[in-house]
Amino acid sequence: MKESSAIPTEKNLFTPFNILAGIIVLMGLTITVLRFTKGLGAVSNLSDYNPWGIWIGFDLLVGVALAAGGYVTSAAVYIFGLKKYHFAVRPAVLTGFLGYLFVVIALTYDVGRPWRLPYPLLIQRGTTSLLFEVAGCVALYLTVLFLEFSPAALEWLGLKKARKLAVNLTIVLTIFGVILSTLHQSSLGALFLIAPSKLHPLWYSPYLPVYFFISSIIAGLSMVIFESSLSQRFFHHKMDKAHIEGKDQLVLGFGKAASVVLAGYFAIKVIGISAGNNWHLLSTPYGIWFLIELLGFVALPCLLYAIGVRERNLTLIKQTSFLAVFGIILNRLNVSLIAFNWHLPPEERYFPHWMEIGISLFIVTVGILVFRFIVTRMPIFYEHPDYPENH
Amino acid sequence: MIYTLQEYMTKTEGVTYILMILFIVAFILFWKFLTGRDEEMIDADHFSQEQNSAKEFHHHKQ
Repeated sequence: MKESSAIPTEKNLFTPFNILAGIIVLMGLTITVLRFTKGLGAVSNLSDYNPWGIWIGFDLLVGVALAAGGYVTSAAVYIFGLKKYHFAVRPAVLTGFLGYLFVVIALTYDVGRPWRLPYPLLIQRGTTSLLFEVAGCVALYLTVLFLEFSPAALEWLGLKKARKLAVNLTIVLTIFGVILSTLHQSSLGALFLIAPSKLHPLWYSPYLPVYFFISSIIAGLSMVIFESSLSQRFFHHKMDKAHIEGKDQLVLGFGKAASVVLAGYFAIKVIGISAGNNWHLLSTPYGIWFLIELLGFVALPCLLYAIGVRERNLTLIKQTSFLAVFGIILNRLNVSLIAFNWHLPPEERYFPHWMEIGISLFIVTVGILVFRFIVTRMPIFYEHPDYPENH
Repeated sequence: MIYTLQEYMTKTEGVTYILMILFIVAFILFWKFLTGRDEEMIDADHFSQEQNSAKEFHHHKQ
């Protein structure tokens, strides 16, 4: 695809999506001013009982899990040698990079005083703290993702020497990225190990770090399938031949991998119930909710992926990716919000303020807008004509 | 009935080990289900390729 064709020729700014996005951005900016001038109490329902709301439960935990497509795809292509999926690396890395970037931005809303964000790395005493480990890994991995994404931006800017340097770092960055992801994806689960009395026994487990890491692989694989089917619909005109022809193989391959990982995840979740001897809790209301998550959003997508791969039914695999992604979102919300503080009376339970939801919506919308800005300008879905099969 | 920690651990660990064995067996069956048609597909691909090359051969011969 020629570079000139990647630049939009018709500019109609007042599309329904742009108008809706504009309204959300204006609302988000207004709430942002309120948050940083009037404090947490003015815009959130957070309290001493519930210090972590949806800005942590959704923006951070879900955001990090769904951004796992970057390390999963890079590892598949550069470490496991599955070169046939090479075309999928750039979109996945871009999604991962933006995911982590907006996770960090969302975190500033929760912790406040953004200029103190580097404090865990510079001024602190808690090197044994999991939050220190998460902060270090996320900061480093965001840098890694930025460097992994940089060849596309440098091609767009025409900086050939800098691009060559960035491309030479690919393998080192991929290995570093996998190590960092393994560490912080599991550490996010480990954060809840400190609260065995607050988290419902069906979700609490000594294996929480393992659950979070394994489910992040499912989230990464499913997000790549989900995002590729959306991109095919909205950015089809930006894709080159390799991208269009390879998409079906990608959906089948990643669908098969997701099915296998989901099967393993289902097994270790059941083993978790057995190891904690929590069978009797399955008949309680929380138990039924747990079974809905386990059977409806782990076992069912596993089976549907398997049927889709067996029957070569791409539509079924794409639809299942949505179910699997929703399952991961539900799991993170269950652990951080729904099954957390489960013993408190209803009036003490947390429900997000509409302005908290507004900020989450604002961050997701800005993420989509930045993604659209980049893919309509930089060589993400096609190879730059000056660097054929060389990135 | 369970009265001691020893009995509790024996029961819990015992059930867990049985489950692990069942999952290993189930996983082999699941893998066979997942990849069951891969060989058929590969065979079908080879067959269609052979047919195409045979057609091309006859086409060139004529």
